[in-house]
Amino acid sequence: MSIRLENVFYIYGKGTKEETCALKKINLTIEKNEFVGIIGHTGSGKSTLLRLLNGLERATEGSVYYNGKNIYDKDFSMKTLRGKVGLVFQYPEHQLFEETVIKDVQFGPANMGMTPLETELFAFQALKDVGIGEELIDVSPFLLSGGQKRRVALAGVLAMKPEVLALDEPVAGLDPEGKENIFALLKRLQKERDLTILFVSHSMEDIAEYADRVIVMNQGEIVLDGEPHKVFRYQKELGQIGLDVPVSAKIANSLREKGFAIPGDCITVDETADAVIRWYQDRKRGAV
Amino acid sequence: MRSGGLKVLWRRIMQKKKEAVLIETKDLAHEYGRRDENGDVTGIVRAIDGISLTVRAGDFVTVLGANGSGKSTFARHLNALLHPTEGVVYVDGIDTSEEEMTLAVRQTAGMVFQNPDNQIISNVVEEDVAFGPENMGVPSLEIKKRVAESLAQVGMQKYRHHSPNHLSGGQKQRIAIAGIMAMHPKCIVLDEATAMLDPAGRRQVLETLHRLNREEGITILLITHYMEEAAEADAVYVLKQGKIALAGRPETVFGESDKIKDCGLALPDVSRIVQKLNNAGLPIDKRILTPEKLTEALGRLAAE
Ligand SMILES: Nc1ncnc2c1ncn2[C@@H]1O[C@H](COP(=O)(O)OP(=O)(O)OP(=O)(O)O)[C@@H](O)[C@H]1O
Ligand SMILES: Nc1ncnc2c1ncn2[C@@H]1O[C@H](COP(=O)(O)OP(=O)(O)OP(=O)(O)O)[C@@H](O)[C@H]1O
Ligand SMILES: [Mg+2]
Ligand SMILES: [Mg+2]
Repeated sequence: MSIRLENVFYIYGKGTKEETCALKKINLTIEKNEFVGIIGHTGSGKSTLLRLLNGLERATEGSVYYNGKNIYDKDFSMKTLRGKVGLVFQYPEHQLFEETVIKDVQFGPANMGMTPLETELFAFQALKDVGIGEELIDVSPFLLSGGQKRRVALAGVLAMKPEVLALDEPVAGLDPEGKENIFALLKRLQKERDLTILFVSHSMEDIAEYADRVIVMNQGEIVLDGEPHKVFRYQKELGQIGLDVPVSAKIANSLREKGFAIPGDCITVDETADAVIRWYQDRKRGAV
Repeated sequence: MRSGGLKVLWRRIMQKKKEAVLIETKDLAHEYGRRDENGDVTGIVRAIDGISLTVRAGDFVTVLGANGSGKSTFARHLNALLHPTEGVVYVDGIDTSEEEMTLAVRQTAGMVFQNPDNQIISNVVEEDVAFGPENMGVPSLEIKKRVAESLAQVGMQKYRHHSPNHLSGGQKQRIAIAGIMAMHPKCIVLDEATAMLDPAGRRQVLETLHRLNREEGITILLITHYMEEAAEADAVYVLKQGKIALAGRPETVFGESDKIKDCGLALPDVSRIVQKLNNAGLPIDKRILTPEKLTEALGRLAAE
């Protein structure tokens, strides 16, 4: 499995006064089993990019290849693609529609042609995985709290057992414990089921902690792409396009500026804390 | 000399304002009927279970809590969108269950919702932001000024003629925030309003809120899952299953790391680093919550 975008442009409202070029000449390859974070300022094109991946939106120009096949070819089945690339929307309200939680989560797998038994099994498993308790399964999804809705929307996509997960701000609105559990689940799926995962986030900390690769968007273009430790070295440049580096990186960087002997690639809580502890121990040893 | 005198006077006025109670809840409880697909009630959820608190005018209060702990339900009471099942809620002295006072309550406590779609009313950004003040009978020249001001504060002037429905998620959220700011309410309640903003947008909105709070004495009640947003609040409330599980100054609340975990939350990253440093024997004040304070403290340690 791989996804490739070739010279992709996306224009909203062509010919109207609101005409917006949301994606400009995107060239991008996502390999099987990658765990990719996408960051970018508000309106930089992240959601538009994700919506192209499962064919929900069609590129104005350029091509999208899934496993080497052009998804815009006449004989390419969009329905199959939607089952293979599970898209979780930025707002769960845009995704949820059934009368009860369980019906909502069963819709995807049933629609993909799974047997009723599989459908039920996968739906219950997915709800358990995202931390939705049994007391909520017969409730209308619209009467849930914000975080509960997001979990159900995620479960609906997980239950389809897709090859690729395209998650638009999947943990926005989740409490810290829920967030940690969801990322642990995603990491497990990546390993056990060889899943490919893309997620959009505004939390630089989550990107540093969980992504193996980060794509940085600015005004419809990809401006940086690489391993988080490398990308977060561009503190100034990221600041100029409405982004930032994780808090831990900020602390490490300002300590280094003050003359502390701290390596230049601390981006997580553990890395920064460990570096400071090493500095402290070295200093104590030196003093003895 | 003169400006110094004015400053003292200003401080005294703000202090007076601060002493007044703006929000008060007494034994507030809220029960929802849980319904099945036919609309029959199958159970009762006690989403708020006995909350008594007071927020003074001019306070900056942050509310934290796990998913489903009752934060949004609580917020909806401050806006008279919900009425107490038990107990009372006063907003600026008005009992929110008095139906004829609903409009007055909503103008006192403006609310930004978790999902901006619930808030978008008009087809043009500018009109959408003007809607609130228009409804309050603000003169049109003043409305124009406020709309321009609020849009600038959230960095969306460029989009003033656009349709809010054709904006990205974070852009919509900025519009919703501007709409409330333009009403100049005494109190702004934000239900995870920064969740979809990029880092610059989040900083900008938070700075604006702190400025409105400091300079205009506007009371802020911020619901969030970003722990570090609580660091600079006057008071933090942590909800758990509809009850207040922890309350106090941010340093105090985050000092209770076991209880914080028990509530489904986490410490801010800065505190997590401090905790690790403490465990390794570094003498760093465990109440530190901001990156600046931490680097300062380490600087002092290095100079010793
Ligand atoms: N339906 C639409 N009609 C017209 N323009 C649109 C529409 N949806 C999005 N846009 C514009 O396209 C650009 C990219 O939007 P997109 O939703 O992809 O951004 P994003 O990176 O996901 O932003 P956010 O972080 O705010 O969700 C923005 O400038 C937005 O205003
Ligand atoms: N309209 C409703 N009808 C029935 N139950 C509801 C309704 N709204 C909320 N609930 C339930 O009440 C509880 C509290 O919900 P609330 O929305 O206040 O939580 P919250 O703290 O805001 O959570 P989140 O962080 O997920 O937004 C939840 O268990 C939720 O399922
Ligand atoms: Mg988006
Ligand atoms: Mg809520």
